Amino acid sequence: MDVIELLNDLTGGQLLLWKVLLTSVIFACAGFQVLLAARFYEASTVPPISTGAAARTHRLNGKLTVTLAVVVGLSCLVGPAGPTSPTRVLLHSVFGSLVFALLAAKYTALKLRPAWGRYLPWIGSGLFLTFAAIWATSVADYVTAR
Amino acid sequence: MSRAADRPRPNPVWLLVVVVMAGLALAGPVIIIRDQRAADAAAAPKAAEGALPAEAAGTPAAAGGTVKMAGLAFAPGTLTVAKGATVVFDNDDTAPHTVTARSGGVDSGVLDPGKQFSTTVTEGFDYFCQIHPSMTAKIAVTG
Repeated sequence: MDVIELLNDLTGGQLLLWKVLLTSVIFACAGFQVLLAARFYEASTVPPISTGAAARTHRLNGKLTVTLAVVVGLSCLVGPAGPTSPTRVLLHSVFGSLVFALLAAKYTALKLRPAWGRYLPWIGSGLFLTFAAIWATSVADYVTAR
Repeated sequence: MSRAADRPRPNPVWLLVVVVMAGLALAGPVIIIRDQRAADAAAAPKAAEGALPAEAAGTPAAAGGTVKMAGLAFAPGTLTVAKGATVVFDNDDTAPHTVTARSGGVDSGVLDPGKQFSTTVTEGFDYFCQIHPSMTAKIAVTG
């Protein structure tokens, strides 16, 4: 049994639907991450929690988002990855790769090169925009194809 | 003591996380290049097998059949045809699909909406769409 077959069986033949749902959850989490970051950088008063709580929630929500992104990303890589046509599929692959490149940069800045910390707001913003592009090139296509 | 010696050693766990993320970032381009090379290598035999534009497809051979792709599903889910029959796969959907045999051998490449693919079957096979892997179906052969 190949991996895609296994995933299809695990999801009752609804692998694509599950991926679409998880991608939507990831996108929502990414948006929440931006709000939380704006709060602990004191650029916003929303959500109405302390900056410390915002930072803790940001870390927790970030771990959840990355875990889900890795799960969905791997299920893409073992199955449908590869076609460069149509353009939507190619763009989806490009954005999918970019999101992990940005995550590598983010973890480097956070944990390995603290001096790069000044770039974190840019990396975070880039991550949110890339997650938005991934969502648009997958979920939108799924909905219109229905 | 030098500045490099003063710098704390990186936590190996986070180093591993960064390597994994970078690996995932590189996996997409590597797969695209690999598949593109495979597609180029298979292009000539595939053309001979019969990847047809919709307007040139014609009628399937006697005892053959047609599988429609619509609403992110193959229909019928199981098509039974005689050995040696021609099966036409017709993408009536608004999304691109592939017809890819799980056991290898048959692979349409990406069929954009409105395109068709035909193949002569000598044995049954399970197949799926590489772009939408939840789309699965089966060709059964009699005789």
